[in-house]
Amino acid sequence: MISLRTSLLLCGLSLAAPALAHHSANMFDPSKQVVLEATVKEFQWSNPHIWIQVMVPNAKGVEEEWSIEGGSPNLVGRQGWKRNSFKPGEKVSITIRPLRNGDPGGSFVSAAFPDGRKLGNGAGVLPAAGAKEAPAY
Amino acid sequence: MMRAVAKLTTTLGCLLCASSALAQVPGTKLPNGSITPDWTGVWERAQGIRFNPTNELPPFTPAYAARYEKAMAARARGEVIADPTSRCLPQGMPRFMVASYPLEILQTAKQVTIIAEWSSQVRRIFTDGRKAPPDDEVEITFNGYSVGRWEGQTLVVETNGLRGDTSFDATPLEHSDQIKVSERIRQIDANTLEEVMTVTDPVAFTKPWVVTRRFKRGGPDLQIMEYVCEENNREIILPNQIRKP
Repeated sequence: MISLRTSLLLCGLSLAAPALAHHSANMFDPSKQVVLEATVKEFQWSNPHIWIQVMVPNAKGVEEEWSIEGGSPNLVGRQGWKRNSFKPGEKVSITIRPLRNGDPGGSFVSAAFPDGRKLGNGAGVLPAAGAKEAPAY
Repeated sequence: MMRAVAKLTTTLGCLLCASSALAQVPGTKLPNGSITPDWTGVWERAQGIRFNPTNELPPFTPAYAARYEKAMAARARGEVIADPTSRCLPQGMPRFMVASYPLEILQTAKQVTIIAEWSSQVRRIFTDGRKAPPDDEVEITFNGYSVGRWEGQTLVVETNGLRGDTSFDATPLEHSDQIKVSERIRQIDANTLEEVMTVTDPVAFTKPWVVTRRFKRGGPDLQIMEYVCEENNREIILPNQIRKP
C-alpha cells in the first residue's frame, strides 16, 4: 500500500512563511511537496526547531520513520500550535518538502487531522516558493 | 454629608492623580535632567530577516565580493553553507538587531539593555558617559562593546570589539574583524522605532554600509519566550562541512 504521493508544485502558492530561525534550508527541495499518510510517533516541542516523528508505510508496506522539521516553538506557538498539537498514535496527513538526499524527512508545510483540524504553514523551514525572504536562517 | 463630599473629592483626586501618572510616558531621567523617550517593552522587526531590507549588497571589496559569489554559487548547486548559528553560536552584532525573534528593551539612566529572544542573547549599551576601550585592547565578543549617548530623543550607539566570524544574516555576507557599527535609534511614531546602522569595515568594504531597519511595538500579549538553541539541535553544520545535495 503506497501511501506516498509526490507532486511538483508551481511557484507562487499561498504559503506565506514567515522568517525561520537557525539553519539553512538548502537540504530541502523547494520544488517538491510530498503528502505523508502518517501515524504520529513523537512530537518534539523543542528549540531550535520542532520535530514531528511519524511512521509511514513504504512501497513494500513496511513502516518507516520520517523526521519532519518545523519552526521553533517561539514561532509556531505564536501561530496557535501547542506542545500537544501532535499526539502519539494520532493519524495525520502531513505535507512536507522532502530532503534532497532522499532520506525519510522533510520540512513541514501543513497537517490535516481526521477530525478536520488543520495546522498551517509557518512552521516549515522554507519560505514560500518564489518568496523574497531569504531561503535560510 | 460634608464628610461624604470630602471623601468623594479625595477619591476623585486620587483617581485623577493615578490617571495622569499613567498617561505620562515616563522615559528615563538623565543626570543632566533631560527625559529620554521610554522604549521599555517588546519590539518586533518590521521587515524580513535579511540584514538589509532593500536586499542591496554591501560595498564589498573585490576579494569579499568574490567570496560571496563563490558561496552563492555553491548554494545555487544545492550545497548547504555553514551558518555559525547552525551550531547555536550567537548571531552577534549587528545581526542581533535583525531581531529574527522579538527584542525586549529595558532602560535605566546608565544603561540600555536589549534582550533578544533568539538564543536568549543580551546586549548592554552603556549610557553612563564612559568611553569604549581602545580597539587594540577591547575584548573581542559576539555583541561587542557598545557605548551609547542620547542626542535629544535619539539614542546614538558606537560598537567596537566585534568578532570577524559572524555573518550579517543567513546569506553568506561576510565581514572582517575590523567591523564597527554605529547606530542611531529614534522613535518615528507611537509604535515604531527606526534604526539607521552604519557599518564600517576597511578590509571587507570599500565604504561604510548604511542600513535602515524598523521595529514595531509588540502587542499586549507578546512576551519574550525561552529559546535554548542547544536543546535539540539536530542540524549541526560545521564551518568546514559542505553538504552536497
